[in-house]
Amino acid sequence: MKKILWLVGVVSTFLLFSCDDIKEDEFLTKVEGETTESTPITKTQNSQAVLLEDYTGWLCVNCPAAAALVEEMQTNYGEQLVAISVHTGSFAVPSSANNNLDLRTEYGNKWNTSFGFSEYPSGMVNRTYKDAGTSRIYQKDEWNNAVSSLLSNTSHLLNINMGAEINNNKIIVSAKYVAQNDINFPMYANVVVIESGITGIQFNKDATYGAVPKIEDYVFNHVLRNNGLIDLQLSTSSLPSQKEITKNYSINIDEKWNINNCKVVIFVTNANTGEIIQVNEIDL
Amino acid sequence: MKRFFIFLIVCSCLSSFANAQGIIGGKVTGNFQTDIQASKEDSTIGAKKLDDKLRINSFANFIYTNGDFSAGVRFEGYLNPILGFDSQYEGAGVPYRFASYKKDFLEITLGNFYEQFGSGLIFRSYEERNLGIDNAMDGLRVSAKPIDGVVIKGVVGKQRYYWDDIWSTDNGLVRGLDAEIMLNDLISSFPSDYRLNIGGSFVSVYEKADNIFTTINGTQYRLNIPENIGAGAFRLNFSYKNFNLGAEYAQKGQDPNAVNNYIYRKGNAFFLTADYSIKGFALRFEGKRIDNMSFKSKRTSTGNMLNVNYLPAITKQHSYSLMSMYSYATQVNGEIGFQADVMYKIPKNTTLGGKYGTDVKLNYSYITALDREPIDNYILDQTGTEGYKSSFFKFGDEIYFSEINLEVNKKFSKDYKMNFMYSYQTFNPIAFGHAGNPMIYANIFVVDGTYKFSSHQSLKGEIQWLLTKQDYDEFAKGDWLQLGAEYNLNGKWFFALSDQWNYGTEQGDKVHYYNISVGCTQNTTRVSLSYGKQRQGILCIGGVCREVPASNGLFMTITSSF
Repeated sequence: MKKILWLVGVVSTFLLFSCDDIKEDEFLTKVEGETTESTPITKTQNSQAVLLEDYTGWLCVNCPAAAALVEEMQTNYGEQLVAISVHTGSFAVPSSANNNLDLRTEYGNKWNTSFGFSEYPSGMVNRTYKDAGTSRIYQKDEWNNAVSSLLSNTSHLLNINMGAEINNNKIIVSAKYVAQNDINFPMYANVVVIESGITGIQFNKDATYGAVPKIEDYVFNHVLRNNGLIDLQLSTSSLPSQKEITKNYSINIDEKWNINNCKVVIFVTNANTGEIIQVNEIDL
Repeated sequence: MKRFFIFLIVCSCLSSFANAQGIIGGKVTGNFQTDIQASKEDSTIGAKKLDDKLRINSFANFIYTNGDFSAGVRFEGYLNPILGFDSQYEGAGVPYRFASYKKDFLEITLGNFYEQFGSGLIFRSYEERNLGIDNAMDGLRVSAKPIDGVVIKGVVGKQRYYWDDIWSTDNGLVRGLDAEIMLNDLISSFPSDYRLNIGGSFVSVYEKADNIFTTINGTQYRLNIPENIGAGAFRLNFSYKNFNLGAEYAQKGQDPNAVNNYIYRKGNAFFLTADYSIKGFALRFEGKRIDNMSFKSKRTSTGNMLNVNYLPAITKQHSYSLMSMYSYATQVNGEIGFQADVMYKIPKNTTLGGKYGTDVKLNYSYITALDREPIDNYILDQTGTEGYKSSFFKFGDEIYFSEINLEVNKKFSKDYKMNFMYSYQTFNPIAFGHAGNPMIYANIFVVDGTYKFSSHQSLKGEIQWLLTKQDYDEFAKGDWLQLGAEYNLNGKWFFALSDQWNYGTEQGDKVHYYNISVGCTQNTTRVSLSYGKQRQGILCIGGVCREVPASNGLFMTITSSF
């Protein structure tokens, strides 16, 4: 009898927790962000660019070194390297010790989990798999080689020409995606805002980058902000070479942002693999 | 490969443990098969040139058994895959390895395994080599018999997908439980005239949500995808004297996927069998209703791989090639139908029965689409909605397949017997993935006779004739006639000749698909070699089909077991 009861318990638990049921009025979520309003294209693109995502947090003592490396790499690679600082994980949880400055975003936290980050600083380079393996996570010292390797490719798939302007409490973004070669997979577009010049407390263990153990007036750059438009459908199957797709987006401005320090970043992913095929950014 | 070596190390450790326990010994069994194909270009039948000249599919199983412990591996090589097999099979390796032991009331299997709950409506992990299907689980299987009359099974793992390292993919994790109670064994006072088994199962697939979009009336939406897809089933088998009844009902939770066009309607399936038999007479009825029951461990997947469940066919399974030219494939998105068989043996020493009696078999099957209506304000199967409404017992207007088949087996003397078969088939090309094409109506006749010259020699001849007016595509090419002869010697050698002639088509040449083959069996080893033309077509087994491209050349098969 004991065995039977034990088995019944296992079965009941299994039945209770193994099936999702979605209400009919929740089947669909309207995709916000696309708009009929447009703005002139002011920035064109003719070459491959790479997105470096730096996963970081104010409690992470090695992160100032990584941030400095990002700045150095941007100086070297110019417009071919776009950087985003994703504040996430246990090192980014705000508290009274950092004046409750919360730089996390919902989707940044989601990426942190889904890509399996557990050490900081670390990052992704175009979300490519490292050494053709199963992990996309690169340690700080591996970033430069990964970026260099991607930029050494002589051909690229897509150009993102873009423009952006502020209209009332919204940022209107227009983008023209131009295929440079046949693209034989579906694509998602991501349109996000990053902000630089945010001052706050950052823990640190290397005096090269500031006071130890914490920097009181640390300047956070390229910080990923909320209200971004994530995984918007760009194409459903293939896009022949030289074909164009034009899209207009609208992003709500958060009152916490210093809009003068913000940029809009668009990056396009291969919807099958999640790898980024092109990125571009524009000042506001 | 790393996992394989780890597995070998574990096996070695277990073997050492077994030796330490004083149970040295055990036995190794296995089998081997290789299929070798060489095909040349032949524009008359659409056979394409093969750059690699020779294609070889091979596998070998090695199973070690020692008391309650067993372990095994299967090597497979597709170098390159023979025609009709998915090119993703290209390569060689060890995709199947397992270790299993029994202890007390438990049987535990680690690694790869096959398993089925009930008739498979919500879970069946199986291999059908001729179709290139292998959805072996990789994980853990536990079977328990805690008391007499009760069997409980639990499985967890992921399914094979060609050569992918499945644990590094996003493919869904399959979890399942099944319980079966045999009341006659459980309750000693249960009436012995009756047999009653009841069972229930539950399967859940966990897969991370994808970004799936749809546009309705110009507005773009993102689908809220369920990540845990559950399915439950209940079944019973009841028998009383010569009567047997089996029934299974399954229900699947919301599962928007690529096969059902991402609709949220819950799926269900009902399968019923009833049969009655007495000496010289048997009656069997099967009924089935399937409603949105594609259940895969990857929601974006289509095709034959990664199926979690199996939906059995209820049409007659034919062995004659022209009879099976228009084989039906189960329509997982929805179908309703039935099949009835009557078998009667005309007694010996009667006018019709003759000296040995005559077997008469009549089969009728009828399958249609479901009766479906669109959801208010949406088109049928609109992505992101319930998809449709359907009345459970109502047949749809669109016929998928029907057949009436009469078969007579007559033995005229101890040396001579014949088989006559007639079939009228109504076939909807939707089963071949060609929805919207004209229906095919075919009259098919078969006459088959075998004469034994002696206890060591026999000659078999057959005529098959298919008559249809439909002649509009590769799969509908008018009338066919097939003649064949096969000579058997000592039960070891066979020589066969056949010609399938597509004399009724107006599309191109009226091609002869001739074939000559020879084979030899020696103990457990069999070698066969054939040369000839293979028509392009669809191969179906148990309601599941794959395309077979045309070929012209040599085909050799070697099988062996030990």
